[in-house]
Amino acid sequence: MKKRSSGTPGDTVTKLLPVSLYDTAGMEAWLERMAEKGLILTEFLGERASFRAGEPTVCRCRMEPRPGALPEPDGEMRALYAASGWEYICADSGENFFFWRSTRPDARELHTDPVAESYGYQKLRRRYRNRCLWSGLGTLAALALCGGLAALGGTSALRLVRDNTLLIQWGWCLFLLAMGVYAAAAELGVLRRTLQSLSSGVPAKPARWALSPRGRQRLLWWGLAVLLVGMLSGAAAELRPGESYSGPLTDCPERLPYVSAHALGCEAGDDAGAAWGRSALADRWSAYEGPMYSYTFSNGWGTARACATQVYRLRLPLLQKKLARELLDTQPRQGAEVTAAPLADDRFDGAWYGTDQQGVQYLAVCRDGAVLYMAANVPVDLRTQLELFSQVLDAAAS
Amino acid sequence: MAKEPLKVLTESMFYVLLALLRQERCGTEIMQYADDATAGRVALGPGTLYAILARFEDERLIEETAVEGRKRTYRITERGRALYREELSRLRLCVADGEREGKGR
Repeated sequence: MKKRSSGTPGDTVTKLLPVSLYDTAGMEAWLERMAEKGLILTEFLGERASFRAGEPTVCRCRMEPRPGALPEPDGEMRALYAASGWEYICADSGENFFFWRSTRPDARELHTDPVAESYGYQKLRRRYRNRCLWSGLGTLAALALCGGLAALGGTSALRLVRDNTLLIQWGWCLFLLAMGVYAAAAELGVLRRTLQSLSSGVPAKPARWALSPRGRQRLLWWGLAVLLVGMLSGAAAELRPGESYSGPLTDCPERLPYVSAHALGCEAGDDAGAAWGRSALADRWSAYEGPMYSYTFSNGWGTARACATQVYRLRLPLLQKKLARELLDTQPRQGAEVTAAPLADDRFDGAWYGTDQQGVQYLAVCRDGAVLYMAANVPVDLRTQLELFSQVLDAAAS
Repeated sequence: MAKEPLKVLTESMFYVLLALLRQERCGTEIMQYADDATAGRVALGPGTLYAILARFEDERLIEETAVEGRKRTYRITERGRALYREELSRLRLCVADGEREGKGR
């Protein structure tokens, strides 16, 4: 659809502001250019300006901070300005500024004393700063609440390291937050410069670096596009698609960090396999080998290999203990009742060990951001093989 | 941060106080007075005048005496007169300094 920049007389045209509202000089120049194209400002709708299409007009447009508490100019103000040839147009949506227009070339400038003009900006800056403060506190409270709810609701470290969706969602929130902080800081900076300039008797200059609503919208669209592409392209599930392998683990093309069945007193067998993949937060490998065994619990049954290993290399090491605990809580066979107890060992940042009612052993250890989880139905007590697990963690870390 | 009280007046502010020194006036009369008194040299823009009147009222340098429709009339207070006198002395010193320096050449 062709974008309409001007309409037939009488039409209403709305446009997103191309400069920050706080960039007074930039806004005034833009409104004057619009009037030259026949677009006369009528009102503001959020971050859009609404124009009435008409005849091209040469006029001066001026804006000034709202001087008092009234959302519209009072009678005295209107009369005083009208006597000097100025007509009130509207206030912006946030009622921070009043907009005036004059088509009379002889009309006296609205502001002839920058120091007096700065008084309005002082009030505006105070109002804006207070609003930023309250918004900032509100955002922090909301983040704390979300974080608290996520912690209470048990946001899964396992999901976080396996699935990028959650990370993308948090990234999106942080992106919006960073954009909001930047926009507020830039606008405060514009206000500060304007104020400094006016207080020293110099009219304010345009401030091009402030983030305009148009720029903000562009950034939002880009951010949204990245989010959608990320969510839809499968990158959400895994940045690099996972690969798998069947066959003796010693012949696996990927350098696997794993614990061999042989080291735990079993035959490796031919029917072994491995899978590996990468998410935004972790590299992970899983491997299984050894003889098959059957398990039956009250609400589940099946078969499994004697040695199943999962190894994670985290890019966010602080998640390692949570992940190790979660692996122990969620990975054992369905229906298995495992009571894991911590193991005291200086070689690890954390170590837990437990068995289920069929004697299958479960172990999780972590160190320096690497986590190893093992489910083993082997004759050897896993607690006597801690040095072996330590070596696997070393291999994963490298 | 508390608002800094006015200590030095700009030319526009000075003429607003001057306009009210002998009689009560409304906004347009103040503008007209500044125009006449300075032969157009000091042109008070409506925004400037409105901002100055609001600030002077805040600082109790002037006060409103009557409201007739859209017209508000103001008069200077004792505080305003004191500030006016201070400013006048300051300006006299400036002029004296300038003249002394000028004679030296």
